[in-house]
Amino acid sequence: MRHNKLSFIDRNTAELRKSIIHLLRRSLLYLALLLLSVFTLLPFLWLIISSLKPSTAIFSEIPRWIPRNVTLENYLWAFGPKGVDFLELFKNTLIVSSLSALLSGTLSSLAAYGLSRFRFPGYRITGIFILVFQMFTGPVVIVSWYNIAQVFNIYDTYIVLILAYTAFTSPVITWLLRGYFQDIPEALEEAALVDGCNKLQALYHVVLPVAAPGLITSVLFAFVLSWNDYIYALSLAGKNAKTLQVGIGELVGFFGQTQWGGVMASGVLTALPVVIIFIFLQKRLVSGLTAGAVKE
Amino acid sequence: MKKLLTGLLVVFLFSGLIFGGFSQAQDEPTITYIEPGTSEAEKARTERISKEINEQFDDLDFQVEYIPWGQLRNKITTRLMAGDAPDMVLQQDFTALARLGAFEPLGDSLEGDPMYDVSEDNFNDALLEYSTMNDELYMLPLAGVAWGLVVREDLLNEEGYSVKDLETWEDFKEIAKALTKDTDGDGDVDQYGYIYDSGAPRYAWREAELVAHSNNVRLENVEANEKKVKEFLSFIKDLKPYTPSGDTAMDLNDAYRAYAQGRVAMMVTGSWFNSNIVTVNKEVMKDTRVVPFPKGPSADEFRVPVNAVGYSMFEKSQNKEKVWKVMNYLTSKEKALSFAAMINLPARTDISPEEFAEASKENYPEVPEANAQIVTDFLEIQNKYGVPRSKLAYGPRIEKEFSGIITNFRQGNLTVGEAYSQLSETLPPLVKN
Amino acid sequence: MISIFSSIYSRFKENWVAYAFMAPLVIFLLIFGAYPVLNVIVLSFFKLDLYESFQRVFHGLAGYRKILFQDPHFWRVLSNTAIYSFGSTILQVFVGFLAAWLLSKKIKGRAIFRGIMLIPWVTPIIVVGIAWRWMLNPSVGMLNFYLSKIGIINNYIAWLGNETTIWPVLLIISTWKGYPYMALMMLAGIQDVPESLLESASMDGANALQKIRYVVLPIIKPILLITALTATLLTWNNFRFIYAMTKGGPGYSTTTISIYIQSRSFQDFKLGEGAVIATLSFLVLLAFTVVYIRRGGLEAQ
Repeated sequence: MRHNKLSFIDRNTAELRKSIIHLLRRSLLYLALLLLSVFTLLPFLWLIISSLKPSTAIFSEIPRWIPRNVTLENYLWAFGPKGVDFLELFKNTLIVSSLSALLSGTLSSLAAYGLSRFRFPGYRITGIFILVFQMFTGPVVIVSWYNIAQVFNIYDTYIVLILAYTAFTSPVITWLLRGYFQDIPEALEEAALVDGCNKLQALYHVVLPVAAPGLITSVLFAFVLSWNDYIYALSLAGKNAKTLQVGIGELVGFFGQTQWGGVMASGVLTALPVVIIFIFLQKRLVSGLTAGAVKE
Repeated sequence: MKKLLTGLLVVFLFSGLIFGGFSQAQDEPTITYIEPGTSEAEKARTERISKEINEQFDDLDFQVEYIPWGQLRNKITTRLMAGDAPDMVLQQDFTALARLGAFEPLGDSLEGDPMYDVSEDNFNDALLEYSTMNDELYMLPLAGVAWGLVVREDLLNEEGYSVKDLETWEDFKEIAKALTKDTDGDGDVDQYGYIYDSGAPRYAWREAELVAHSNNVRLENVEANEKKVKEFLSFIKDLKPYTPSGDTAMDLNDAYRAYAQGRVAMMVTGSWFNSNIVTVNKEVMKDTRVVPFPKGPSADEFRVPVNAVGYSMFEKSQNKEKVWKVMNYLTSKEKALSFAAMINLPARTDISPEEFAEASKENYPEVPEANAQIVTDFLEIQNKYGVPRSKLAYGPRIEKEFSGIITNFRQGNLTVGEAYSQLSETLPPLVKN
Repeated sequence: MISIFSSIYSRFKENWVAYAFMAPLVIFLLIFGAYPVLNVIVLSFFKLDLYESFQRVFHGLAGYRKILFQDPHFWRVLSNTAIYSFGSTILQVFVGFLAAWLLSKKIKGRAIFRGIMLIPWVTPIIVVGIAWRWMLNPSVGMLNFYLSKIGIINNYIAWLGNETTIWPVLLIISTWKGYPYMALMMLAGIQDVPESLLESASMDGANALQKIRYVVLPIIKPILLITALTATLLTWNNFRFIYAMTKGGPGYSTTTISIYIQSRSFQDFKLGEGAVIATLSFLVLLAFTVVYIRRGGLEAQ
């Protein structure tokens, strides 16, 4: 073979070239990542830096990236009742978002499985029918939900927001999950069926673990949609179920003073929990497929 | 694991139901009050007063619900459509909701025995007139909002002018020009005489409305006032070189920052000005004076548009007498003074400017004198030259249409004639309704 | 007659498992989702102008005629919404895919990177609006400041104030805000691409671009198509973003359908017309979705 005829030097040059190319590739990767990070983080960086300045120093004529006086007063203010009462509203938002995400995920994964594995009569229409509920917007929708809340006496409760968010997120989640399920070869379930499971058991024990990354991603998506919502929370919650988004909205004064630094701090505090949750979930997002579930 | 999750889910859902709570019955009748002021100071005052009310009146339970100013209309309309109504609300743009029939007329009650010295005689006439629509009084004025020209006296003096020199539009143009300059010698103009932040519809309209008032015309009456409106348009056009070039994209917050940072020497705004400047740069308040906007060619006297901030009672309220009692208590001299000292101006004429200035100093401990001077200036122009602002049922729509036309005009895409004809096509149908 | 029923019945028996899977969601949506949706559609055939009466009055297609043929702004608003929705989605797909591709590689601290990527998406829009508006400020904004320092521009630009720049700026900021969602969805999909396939492609001499085109894309195609569809739908009805950035202005140049419906319903109090606009918007979305699903081959397995 040719290898043996190559001299020692030639072989090493080839190796060297390979590792240089590899190094270049890696640096290009990191460079792209850096650019993306800068693009992503720049406004947020300004936010964080502003939140550490006293309010009067935030909107300065010349952008100042290193604050003259670093202060935590905005964060302290944000936590308190004068600010956005962070812990209380955080609790509300967390409960409402996570429960609606779970409910939405449950209902949607069942339906998504049905849509991806079965070509039952009317499957096309059902699929589009589900999506239809995502296509409406406006005050009439909100007033309708307000009526629902009044009739069932659930205005300003967690329940009404959970229901509204589930109705709002599940159409999209269903289709997303359907996409993930489609990626999973039917061979998996067939093997399980051969082993004596019924369809539901096949879903539960075989498909879901493999679909875990997609499932968790979709549930997280439903969570973020609820976390970010302002309109439903504004209309359906009063004192008891008030969410962070509504709380922040109240901080921007009309006649009265706006504590700009406090607003920035509240924004940062609202963004962080989701990021932290996501970082923790990373481990579960390793694909089930590449973990060797399928032997080709 | 999945079973555990499902179990937890069920438990959570049920506990959410229990802890979320259903409404509880009250023994005393509940008076639900909607408070739009959600800033720190406003909330603190509301909490304090709410406690006082519950202590004073033991035959009612005073409950506060916070709905930010910007959301008042939406949320209240939603409630009304559902057949639901609170008892009272504080607001300033009451026209639309009053047109919907949401409010109880207060005129008769006001003519009755005055409680807490609340009677017609004790209120500023222009503010009462503003609060009246179709001959019915819908708001009990708590405070007044006056719109004036806010000026950096020090910058004016540097150029050899005094605030007294701002008499006519010609004076204004001359002074605005003199104040537009390059202050740091780098070749770029960094200080402008004026700013017209026409980026947001609400203030594009309100600031224009004010300038139009100074020319003795109500801007929405376009068809009947061709000469005056065209004068207004030409004036706006002439001012363009003395305003920051991007101000067609700026909103009121941007304008406040520009003023506070000395990039702009004069601006038009309402009497809540102080609370918005103090969080940006309070030093600038020390050199600020307030005057009525200079007179246009078709005007013989100063005119300052004013509107009231006041309490309205919902027509569907079940406890109207009690609500009336509370409203009177809140607009008594003492309570009204504590509000005005915080924001805007007193609506009661039995509050003297000195009392008002003193009270206001407490709310701005870092710049008490400067604050007192500014609010006194505003109060003076409200009392001397105040005319009630127009009440327009389709206000927001008018604002939006207007802001599109005026932006186009200010960017040089329309002549005065074209802008005028566009205005006379779009505005009258919206006003007649 | 009986044979039709019995054939429906036997079809049902065959597919009862499928129906069982679909049932929970469909029932939930029929209970909670249908009421608002039906309200909108039904109301579109009525006149409901609160300034006249709180009672609605039936008037058939009169509302549709008014909006489609007599409304001065409807078509512009519709095209604004299309620009916003389709433009955002396309850009987000590109940037999102790039991000997902980068983050699927084994690099140090990728868990952190992936978390950081979420930040634009989960920062409250109110705060995002304040931050971006300040950075784009025509007089002292950072963008103008740095661009003129580098020498790219001579005069400061009113980014959100003039016709040429306003939509590109809005689309870029919308991309900034929304690409993490895309990236997240596609990341989960890219993970599903077996290492073995990628390696054998490398050995066959494929570079990164070719690997993406021939190996990765086919596999994540369903996810990519779905993500783009759902993003389009969600963006179409998004009120807060545009409102926080420009309030729909100047004039109607950036007004989108959701803003238009809001102003017609809660500012003009013409809820019947608002419902008409909402229903028309729905019909556009429905048509788009049906065509998209057919052409994207999303029906087939």
